Amino acid sequence: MQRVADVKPSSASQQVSESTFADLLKPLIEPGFRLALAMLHDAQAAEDAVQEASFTAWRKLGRMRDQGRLRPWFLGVVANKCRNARRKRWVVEVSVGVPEELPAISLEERTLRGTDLRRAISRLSHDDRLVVVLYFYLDMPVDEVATVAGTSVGATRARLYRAIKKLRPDVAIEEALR
Amino acid sequence: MSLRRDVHSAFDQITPSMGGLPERVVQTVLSEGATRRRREKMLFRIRAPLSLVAVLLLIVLVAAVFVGGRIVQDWNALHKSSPAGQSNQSQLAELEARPLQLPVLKAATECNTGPWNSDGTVGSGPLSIYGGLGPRTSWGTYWNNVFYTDQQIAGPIVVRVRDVVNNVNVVFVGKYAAGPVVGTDTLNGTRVQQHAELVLYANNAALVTVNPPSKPHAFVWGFTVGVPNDSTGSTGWQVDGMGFSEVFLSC
Repeated sequence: MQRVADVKPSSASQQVSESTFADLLKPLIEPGFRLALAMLHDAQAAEDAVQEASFTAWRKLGRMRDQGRLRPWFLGVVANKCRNARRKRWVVEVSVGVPEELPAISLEERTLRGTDLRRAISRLSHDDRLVVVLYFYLDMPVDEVATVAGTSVGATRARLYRAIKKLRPDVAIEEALR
Repeated sequence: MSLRRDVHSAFDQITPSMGGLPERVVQTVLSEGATRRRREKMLFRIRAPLSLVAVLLLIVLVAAVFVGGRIVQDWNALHKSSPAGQSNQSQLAELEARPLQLPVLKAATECNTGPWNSDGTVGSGPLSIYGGLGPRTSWGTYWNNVFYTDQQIAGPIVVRVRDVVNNVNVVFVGKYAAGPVVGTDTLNGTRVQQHAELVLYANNAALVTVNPPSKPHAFVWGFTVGVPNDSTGSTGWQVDGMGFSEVFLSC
């Protein structure tokens, strides 16, 4: 299946004026950054991923026929940038595994519950982590999550259930989905 | 607390302020976008020819290695093998010219095999021998033997064998058999020539690993020796190499 981010490059970006581009992109930066931060657990890396995704959007935006689907498309691009960013970091991390303590930003972060949950999410595979973040953190409906992830709604739902079971094995799916 | 609230809480804890981020990102795209596009187009144009150049370089490299290897091989053959061959030939002639120093016994009962080595082989060094009975023919009896040494050998080694009682020639057939042809026989249905000598070189030996580690390598030559029916079975062996001459008896 073709991912939503796999839009062929074109020179059509020239057809989108700078002001239009800014108007379209600005509302997507915050969810894009939140997605990247939840995927990467690193604010600077998240900002880089969003910036790179924005360059991609600048090149390809004019080609999009349905600009109403811009949000899931852009988040898909961000997700791909996050995947690439983690691949680059893998060489460094592989020797030490997943860090026991993720970078601390505030005192609140030391709250055991939040730290444990973030660590558990960071240990999920990229695709599992993506659907969890999109569904639970960005509050997107399952069909939109499926669009971003480039899979069917059924497959996304199954992936979501599987991820929930990994995160909260003792909690019923219905309860977790609330 | 639901999982959704937990996830929100967990990530909100580490989310920094995003004030000005959208404007900063958009501004960066608008200011650098055109430059990046030009650079990406240039990279795209360069990348394809570069891969072609890389493939061509690889082909040239492989061809150079192949041709260079052949040239070096031919050069070595032209400039080294000839003197070495001449050197071996002169050394061989020198060894063949050495007189036999074998004892002469009055009867086979006087013959005692030896000298023995501690490992159950025969020889005074540097070569040792062991072996077993091979095929029998109407002419005589053949033995499949092995010479070995764990010392570095340079130049040829000439082995000659006589009956030490009646001076009958003992012959060699097959691999390493050399020197004058003194007869023929049929072994396992194959007509073979019987030679008067065995000629060994370090570079035509099998190189095997042996224990103990203090003797890590051994040069091994497997060969066939033929003893005629008119021999008494008391054989004297003379092994001549560059810098050594070795004699032992096999009875």
